[in-house]
Amino acid sequence: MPHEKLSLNGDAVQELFPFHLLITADRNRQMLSAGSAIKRLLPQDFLERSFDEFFCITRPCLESLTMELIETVGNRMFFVSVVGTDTVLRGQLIASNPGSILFLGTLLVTAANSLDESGFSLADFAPYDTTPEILILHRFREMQIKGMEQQNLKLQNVIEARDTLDTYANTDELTGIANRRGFWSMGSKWLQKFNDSATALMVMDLDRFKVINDNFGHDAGDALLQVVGHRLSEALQSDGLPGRIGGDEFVAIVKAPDVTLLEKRVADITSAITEPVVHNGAELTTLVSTGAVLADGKRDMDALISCADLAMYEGRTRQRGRICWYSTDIKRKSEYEQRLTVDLEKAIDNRLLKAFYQPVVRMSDHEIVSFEVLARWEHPEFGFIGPDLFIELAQKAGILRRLDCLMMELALDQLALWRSLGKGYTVHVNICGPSIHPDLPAYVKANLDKRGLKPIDLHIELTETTLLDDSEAAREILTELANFGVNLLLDDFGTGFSSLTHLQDFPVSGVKIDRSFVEQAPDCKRARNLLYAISDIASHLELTMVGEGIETIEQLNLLQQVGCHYVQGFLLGKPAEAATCEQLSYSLSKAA
Amino acid sequence: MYGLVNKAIQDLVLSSAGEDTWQRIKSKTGLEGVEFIEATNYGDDVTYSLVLAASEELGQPAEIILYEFGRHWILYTGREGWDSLFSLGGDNMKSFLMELDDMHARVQVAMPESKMPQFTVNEKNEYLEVHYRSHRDGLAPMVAGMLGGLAERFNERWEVTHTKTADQQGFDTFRLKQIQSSTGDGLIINAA
Repeated sequence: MPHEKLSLNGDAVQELFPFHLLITADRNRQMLSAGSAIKRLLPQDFLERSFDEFFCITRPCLESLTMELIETVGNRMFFVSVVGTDTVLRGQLIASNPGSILFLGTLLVTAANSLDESGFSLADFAPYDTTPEILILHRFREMQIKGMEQQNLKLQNVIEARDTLDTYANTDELTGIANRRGFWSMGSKWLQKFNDSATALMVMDLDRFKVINDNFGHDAGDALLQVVGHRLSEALQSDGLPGRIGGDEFVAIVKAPDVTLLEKRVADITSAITEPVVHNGAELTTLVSTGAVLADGKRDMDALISCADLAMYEGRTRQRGRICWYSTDIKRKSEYEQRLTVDLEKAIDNRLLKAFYQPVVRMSDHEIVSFEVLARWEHPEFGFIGPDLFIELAQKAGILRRLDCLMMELALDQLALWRSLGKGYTVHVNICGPSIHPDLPAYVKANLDKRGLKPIDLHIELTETTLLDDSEAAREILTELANFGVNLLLDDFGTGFSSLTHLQDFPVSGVKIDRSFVEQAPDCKRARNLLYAISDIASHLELTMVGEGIETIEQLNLLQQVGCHYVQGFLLGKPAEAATCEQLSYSLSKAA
Repeated sequence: MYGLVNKAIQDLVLSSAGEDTWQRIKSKTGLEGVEFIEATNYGDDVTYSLVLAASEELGQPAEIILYEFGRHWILYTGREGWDSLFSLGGDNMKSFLMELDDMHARVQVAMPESKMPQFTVNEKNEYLEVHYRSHRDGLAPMVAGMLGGLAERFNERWEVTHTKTADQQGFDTFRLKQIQSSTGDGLIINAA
């Protein structure tokens, strides 16, 4: 056998195994030999001294160290500690002849700095001994870990920076909840995640928010928004997602176990955010108009918001501060209105709207002195469209000004025709807020001049809501018109927020008493007294009084008693085309 | 070469010429935005291009840059945690040089991608003769610098002469003669 021919002398052993130990196998375990590297750890007189004096076998646990035991466990890895040092050897024990035990091994290294201050050098290691390579690998591994940690830290910083930026980009600064961008982004993910329960999307608009801003200041408005955002967030907690997507417009996704509970949740949430808010001692109250739509598995945020928005506006048209759920009826109505809006714009541009005229009769001699021009629209497919509807659509579409201009031009065209026939009528034209613009006086003048008409031929009727927006600018424009000679009348007098203020601030020459006073007056003393009061005011301010909405003889008589100068209403004549509008339905002379 | 080498070049430039110079060097080599990772192996061309760019930027021949880098390498790796392995090489210049090839061989075993050079050190009467063999061309000045760095590390004075180049015989030969052991400059170098 080849291995029987293999023998090594002591010098060879020293050369090949610098970390070897040779000890006796008896209980004395005397040191017989040690490798050159081990020797530096031992005193010079180590020979024949006990192995146990300098070394300790820490692994495996042995009860004794005998030849027999070595023969059974010799092929296992041994850890041998050098007493009094941190040095540990690892290797193998072999039963050697005669009656000795040979340890062959090397240093155990656990980290790159294992041999720091040990005094060992490369020369102590046999070329085949990979202990130095293990040290190098330990160091390399430390380098890799350090590099990975640096990369991780860098990545973490990038992620944190991105998240921070994301948060800023997606968060409403005032309320801390999601802004439009954030709500869309998170909402889409929300809807993808929670599609197994009843889920709704809500749009909530604070009614009268502008009034709070105007009356209490923007600080109060901001405080209100912050509180609403906070309450919304609290009300939703983990079952929903709040957002603020506009000035006073909030949104939310909310889920519940079933539809019934969902409806209740929506109601509870709306209720929670409408509680009054106290700011600097003032109580800020507002209503919230809410539109809600069942997600029903849909994930298109744009479509859902649009539906909830429609529902909100639909609910608001009926009554502010209520919850309205989106339905196919609302969808159909919306589509119908969208179609009407497009067709209305075409109709205005192509002058397809008609001017109807309702007579204004002078009380003193029962003569028709003027006509109020009223817009009428017959849709080629849908037939007659009520003015309340198409005027509202025009307002939403931002084309009310064009409508006003059209009606004024039609009215002035008709007036010019009447003049040519020798008739001395005047016309009343209604204009809305957007029509009161700096170009209005020049526009009116140009249209009057073009037709050879005078300013006194034209009465412009203004509602009080028309005068609410930017009243200072409106005052200047209307003053210019009044100075020019155009008559200005305050329509629906008595119903607005600040009727008397408007009388003081705006150059009106007359008022049109709202029909609500006229309606109730015959049967209600209070209403009658109000009419007398209005008459007194008008009289003292030398204003012309026009009573509108006259439908009964009693109303007519009452207005005569009150001292109304002019009257208008169905009793006297319904709005009609120019060809037939001069026929009164009821002759005042009969009443007289 | 490993990123450790390129980071050592970076460290040298930063400490001697500053951040702006380093950024310009990186820009010249198309490495803007690159942060070297020590344990990552980059192509040798990256290191060569950094040396050339540094040479242009600092207005010094590439050989000088390589020499200074060689010196800096010893200091840098010592700072970066490799000092314990340096200690394994010996506690004086001569014993370290005698184990120099073994050290490189063991690094090659541990990190096969490193492609370590070979050193043969022959002890003559009054000097040591070091033969340097590498598959990478042109790095003899860096070896000279490393020898200088080592002498500084051991606080010894050695005269190093580059007696023959690889062009002449296939390997570079350095003659190292110890002058005295004292503080002060560790190396006196004479080129071939």
